[in-house]
Amino acid sequence: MTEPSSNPSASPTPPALPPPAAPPAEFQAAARRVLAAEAPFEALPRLGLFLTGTSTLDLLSPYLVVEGARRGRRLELEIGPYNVLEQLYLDAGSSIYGAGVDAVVLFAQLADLDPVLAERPLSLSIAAQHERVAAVVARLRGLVEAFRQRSRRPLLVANFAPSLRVAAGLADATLETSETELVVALNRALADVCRELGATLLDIHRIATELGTAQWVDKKLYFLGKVPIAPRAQELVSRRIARTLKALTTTPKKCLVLDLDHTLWGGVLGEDGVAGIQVGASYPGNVFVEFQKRALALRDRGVLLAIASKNNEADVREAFEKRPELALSLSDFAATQIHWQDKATSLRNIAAELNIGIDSLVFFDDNPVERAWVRENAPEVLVVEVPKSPLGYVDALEAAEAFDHLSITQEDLGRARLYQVDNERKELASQAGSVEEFLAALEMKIVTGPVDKTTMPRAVQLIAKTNQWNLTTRRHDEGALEAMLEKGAVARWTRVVDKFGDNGLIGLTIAVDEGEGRWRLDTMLMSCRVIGRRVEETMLALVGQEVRERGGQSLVCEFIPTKKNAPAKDFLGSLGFAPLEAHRFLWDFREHEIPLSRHVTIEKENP
Amino acid sequence: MSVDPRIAKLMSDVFGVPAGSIHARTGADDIESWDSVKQLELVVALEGAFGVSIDPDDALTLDSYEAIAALLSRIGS
Repeated sequence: MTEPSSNPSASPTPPALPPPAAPPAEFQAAARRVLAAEAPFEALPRLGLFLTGTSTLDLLSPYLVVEGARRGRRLELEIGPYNVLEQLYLDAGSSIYGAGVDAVVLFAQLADLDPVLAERPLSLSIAAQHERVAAVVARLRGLVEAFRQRSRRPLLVANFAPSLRVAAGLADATLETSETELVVALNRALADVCRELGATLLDIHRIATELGTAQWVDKKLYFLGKVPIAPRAQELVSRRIARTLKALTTTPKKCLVLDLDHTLWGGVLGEDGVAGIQVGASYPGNVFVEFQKRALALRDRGVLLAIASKNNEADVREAFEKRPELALSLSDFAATQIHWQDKATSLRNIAAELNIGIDSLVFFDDNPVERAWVRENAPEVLVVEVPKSPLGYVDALEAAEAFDHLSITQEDLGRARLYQVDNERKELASQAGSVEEFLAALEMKIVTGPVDKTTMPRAVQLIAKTNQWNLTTRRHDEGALEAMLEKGAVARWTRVVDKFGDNGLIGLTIAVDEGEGRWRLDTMLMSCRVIGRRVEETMLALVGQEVRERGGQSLVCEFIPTKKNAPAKDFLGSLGFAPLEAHRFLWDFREHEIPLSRHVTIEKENP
Repeated sequence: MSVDPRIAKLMSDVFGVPAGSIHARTGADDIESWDSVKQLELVVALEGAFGVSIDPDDALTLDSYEAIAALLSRIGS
């Protein structure tokens, strides 16, 4: 039983919705209450979802509605007739392009797309198998392309589950191309199509593997009504769809804040001593090591780690030094708050130190009193409901769905190291006498280039999650940005390299042509990591340069205040542009030039 | 004949009609939402709620309260 959450961002309290794996009738009844907007679901915002496929998807409905409601949405479903995919996708007047549709799911079964490939692969030569895989991918690509030409809405494309029964039986894995590999190859190609065309892959293969292929299909439902998957599989697929829809519309959290005693190790450091805490190769220490490795895996993909612990800092340092069984080391943490002050304060300090919003923190602490305190005093923080047994820690963290990234960029993979280097950079800043001296010592290089296929994912990610140094906070998605580029907008990314390393792609500017030589700065944003290094001036100067080269005479720049973008507030006003109105300025290229800092080298990629 | 409240509740959950409206003579023709998809949802719901496994041939015969009650008493619940 989970405790009721006081976190305002949490979905309606659990008792209103059936727990995972509850009997189907409970999902059906709950779905009806959600759709009727009964309490506590009155205020859920609507999201129109259109399901398309090659078999009966209607039985997914109650699960989708419940899983959507769990994540704060009232999903209203439309389900297309099956096996008319081309008609649905190629006709611009088709109902999947209707005004009430906010997202579309394409969930096709391989047995329907190519029964021979799915059921009798051994009747085909290896070359023919690969041709047929390519043909299936080409057909799906055609659908995705048609969709993208007609709609910018999210499109979730399901990949294919492993075969239930392999034609070659015991010998499958020994074949030159096993049936298992054929599905993997198909899914690989489909993932590439999705990435290239801006669709979101729905990893059905993974869900089927987690549940088990033997549980995947309910023969009775399949043969009576062409229902492709069993009830439990319907629930899991629905959960994945709802989770993906949520990830498409919300910003993932940035930092996992961990307690120490009973969380990262067993026992209490202050009482049991450095030698007494439980961590290591045998139970229960090995359970804590597993949880630490999970934290490290999150760090590998770009989540920052921090410590909020009530302990003596010297004791903690000693523990990390003298207990090599700890998978984590102190340098893995981007920030640490180890003292006896309250944890809401610790969390605020961590957010400030890392220059991220307090609402991007996730708090994991075994102590229910600490969790309640943080919920009460730092309600913006996502507090994970931690089970009593450490065996459940990894699952609890996963169930919080706090770090759901739909794609992982190069920047994500290198982020943790960047923060480590940041501490060295801060040291240099404290030694330098002036900003100019600091910049000179940093040996900064600013690399810039146009947003293209390779850099699009990172550009869209920056647009989605940059809150602080962001002039306009316009959340364009990939489709919108592509449409702007097609209309001649200038979109430039900026990368900053210094003597400590590559900060990665941290800035973005988008300018749009308003006609008659007048351009408008639609978007300008920059990661907080490089605040205070005059990168913004160079970014604006460079976008100005490009607009001028394209025949522009002026650039209208504006600042749209939000709750979070105070750090960018004074930038435009400091440049001496002519004010048009509050927060709006005209940069007339004939009257103003932004001088480039002599301490910064500029490099343009494929100009 | 009195109505088993568990069956009435389940039919209410599946078909979206008030449990009180289900009586011993209620059949597929009395419930507007009772179509072929709902028929499958009914089977799945019965199996989940009563812990039984319904044979596909039996599944096709479930067209009234009476048929449901008879099947459940026959296959043991």
